[in-house]
Amino acid sequence: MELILGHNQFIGISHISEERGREREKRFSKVENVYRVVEAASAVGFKNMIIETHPRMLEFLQYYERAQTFDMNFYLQVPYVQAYVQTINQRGMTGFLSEMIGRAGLAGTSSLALKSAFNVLRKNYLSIALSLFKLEIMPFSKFSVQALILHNVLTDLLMALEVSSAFVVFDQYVNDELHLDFGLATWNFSLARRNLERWDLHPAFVMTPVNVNGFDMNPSKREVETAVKEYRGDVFAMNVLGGGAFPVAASAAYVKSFDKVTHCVVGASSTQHLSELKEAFS
Amino acid sequence: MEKLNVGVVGLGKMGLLHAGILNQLEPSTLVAAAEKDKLTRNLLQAYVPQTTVYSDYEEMFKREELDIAVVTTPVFLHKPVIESALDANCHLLVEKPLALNGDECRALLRGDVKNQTQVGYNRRFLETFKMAKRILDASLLGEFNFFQAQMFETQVLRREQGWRFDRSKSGGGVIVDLGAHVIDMLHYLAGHLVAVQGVARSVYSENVEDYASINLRFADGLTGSLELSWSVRHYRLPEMKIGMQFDKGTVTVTEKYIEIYSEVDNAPLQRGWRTLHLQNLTTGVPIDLGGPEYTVEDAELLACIRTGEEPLCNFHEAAKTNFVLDAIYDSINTGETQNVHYGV
Repeated sequence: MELILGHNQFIGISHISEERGREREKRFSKVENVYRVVEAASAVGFKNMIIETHPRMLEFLQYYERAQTFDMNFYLQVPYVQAYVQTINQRGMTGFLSEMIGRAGLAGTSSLALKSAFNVLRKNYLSIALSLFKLEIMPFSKFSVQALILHNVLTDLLMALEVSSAFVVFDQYVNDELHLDFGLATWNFSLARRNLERWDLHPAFVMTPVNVNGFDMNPSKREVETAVKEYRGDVFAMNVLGGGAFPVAASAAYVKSFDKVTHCVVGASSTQHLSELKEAFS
Repeated sequence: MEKLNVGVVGLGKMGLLHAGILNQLEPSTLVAAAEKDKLTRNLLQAYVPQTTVYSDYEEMFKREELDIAVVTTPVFLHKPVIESALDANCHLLVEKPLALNGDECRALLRGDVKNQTQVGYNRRFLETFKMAKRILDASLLGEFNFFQAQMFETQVLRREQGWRFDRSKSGGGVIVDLGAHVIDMLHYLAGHLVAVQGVARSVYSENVEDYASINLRFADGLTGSLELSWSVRHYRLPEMKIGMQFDKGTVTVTEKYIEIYSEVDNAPLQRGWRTLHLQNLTTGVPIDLGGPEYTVEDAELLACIRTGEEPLCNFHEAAKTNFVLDAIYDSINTGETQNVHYGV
């Protein structure tokens, strides 16, 4: 099983408590500290890492490019939902799109800005979404990005409202234009699996919580276990350690019991923890 | 099981979230929505064609045969939309707070509301807070004497736009946006308040408050304080934290964990410290779009429609928070302690 280094700890997220999240935020506000952890991960054998289009992750990649003491493949999760939601909340959908089109113009991508504006007029909303994606991933495109992962908030909302066309369009765009693998993150694996089969869609992988306590395994631990076993594609396990709430050995044994789980996303902030995880999950 | 048709009024973040959840839960299905913003309306109509999207909610209630109306508009529209929904004989799910103020709540409750209602004070449905409630209800740590509550978020660090920052449309600033959640939780945990005294400050917002400190006294003598702000740094998500002092121990509860210190063995509590995380307390839900608590809240409404039981946070329960909010603003405006008048 391949391990992927998670990025939550680097942007101040903790499932244990907000206090711990703030401690991490403080530590990793210095990008060198992010780099040192990822470097240590590489040294113990991690070859892959998940990142979001968070400003700190871009800063980290720029540092990585300059320092270049190790090689890492990146899985890029998009969109950066929290920033989008905040803008939409304050400015509404129309205000949000105007701002994004404006940003495309400022970024020197006037053709993208014009195309987006044209698509608004043509009511071609999926094309608008793709333009926004393009704008968001543009600064990351020069790094060794292996795959694009659709954020679980967007995947799950589109699944719940049964917007199959969005997945078709994203899949084509990521495969044909970006020449990357297209993956989905979801907290509702049973629903996602049902819909993917019904719509005859085959993402490169689906990333979903798989853990010994059944945390975020919806609708139930048992149903997700069955769905993972019966799924015809690759599954990446996430929330494996519950942010540190579950024991490592039991968590590793549980995840390793699934043949379909090819990759496992784990977070760590110290060399000792990274080594412990590498040993337990190998 | 007969399908329950759902119509959502207001397709912001919360509207889309409840639309998705209720579209997947049994036996409800999303059939209609009403939204003022043309782009959002076109977007939903283009990609969710099984749903009819209206620009006018009254038109939606007139044309559709709805069983449930979800009201996720700006607060100042809650009352007129709720009245139209009740005229159309709908059960109601309304985002918090119930209305702009106590007077609007009184007007809503004056009529005979026969349908099931639920207001989105979602933290009642989180397992950490439910566990705190169980400890209180069973008096496992003896008398509840004192509390320190806070709710903070990093949201407003410059002049922001939108209806939340217009008092006539939102009812107030951080006291309504975050404070309403804490007041509701205190009602859920500790019962009725008798008096409040508050101070507030605006720094970034023009006509709503960004910071507030409130002292609260309950009917049984319990006292405590509440600190609120949406303008503190390093709070990525809104976080509610309540520290409680009992005769025989303490409880600190947030969305993510509950920490218990007990001086007695009183099953299921054991002497000493214990911290339980949400990861160890939560089971799966039929669909999760942003937290299991939203699904549990919506599922409870559906169950109550079926059984006739009262939802955990119906209009009567939610209106109590509006009456306390009124007393807090009266106190801030007069500089004096104000008694709380529960109007219904």
